[in-house]
Amino acid sequence: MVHDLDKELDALLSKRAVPEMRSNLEHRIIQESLRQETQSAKRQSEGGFFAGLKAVLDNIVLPQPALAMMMVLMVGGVLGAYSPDVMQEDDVDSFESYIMMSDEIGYGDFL
Amino acid sequence: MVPTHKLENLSDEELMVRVQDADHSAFSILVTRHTRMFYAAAYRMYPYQDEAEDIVQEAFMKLWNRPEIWKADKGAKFTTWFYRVVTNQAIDFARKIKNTKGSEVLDRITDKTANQQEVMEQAQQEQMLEDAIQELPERQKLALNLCFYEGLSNKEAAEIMEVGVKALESLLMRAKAGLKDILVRQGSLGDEEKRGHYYGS
Repeated sequence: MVHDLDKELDALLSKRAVPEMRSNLEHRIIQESLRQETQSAKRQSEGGFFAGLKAVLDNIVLPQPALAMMMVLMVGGVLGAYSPDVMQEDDVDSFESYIMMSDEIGYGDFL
Repeated sequence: MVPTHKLENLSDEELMVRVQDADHSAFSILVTRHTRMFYAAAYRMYPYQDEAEDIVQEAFMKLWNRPEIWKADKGAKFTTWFYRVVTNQAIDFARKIKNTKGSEVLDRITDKTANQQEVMEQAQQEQMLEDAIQELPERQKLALNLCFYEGLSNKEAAEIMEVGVKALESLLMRAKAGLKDILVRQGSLGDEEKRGHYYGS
């Protein structure tokens, strides 16, 4: 009896069917892989630029104190150059007035 | 670049080596060659058409995006190895979603064949069998699917499941015993006399 059940079970198991795929799955997978390939190529080219930039920056290796000093000097230089006092002293109208001596000085003054 | 008709003559394993060099034509041939078979395997693990298709698609995408996961030097057949990828994907999927769709499938079948008594009975019997198989522990179900439906040898199935042949045979026996038990209880297997005998009454 148990043997009959085995046979019956095998017969029942063999009836188990798999329905057809609903869509053209092969085509869908191939298209998806192409799409992902294009995206990854795009990412790589973008990544390539930033990666290059990072590599250049990484190559400029400065010890931290030196970097800080350099920044202070640069900022100081820029602020100093544009401060109003410095600008006033350098306020020269023309090249002539810059090189001309005072009118009050005559030839006799050198003799 | 190798013409497609020549690629078609290559074995799966040779194609995989090319896929590892990002050869999309080789990948396309693998997909065309095996999608139907792996869809069937996925469906038997997780009996919903859309989800089974998604499982196969995800498995192939994993293969395309990370072809290095295939180790040619280990000597495994591509199909044996990819069965493992697909079944693992299906098991993960099933764990995430858990069985909440049981009656949905039956509804779908009965809707289509509402006026055909005989076809409906057959559909119900198939559904009972499907439910019974889905009730089995995952490893027993996988052993049954690989040996009974995928037509793999015990050795190949054992390799996929990463167990010894003896362990696989034991899983198969337990799967069949479990199925018999469930189906006899449901009344889908054996007439009353046999059922009585089976339960020792």
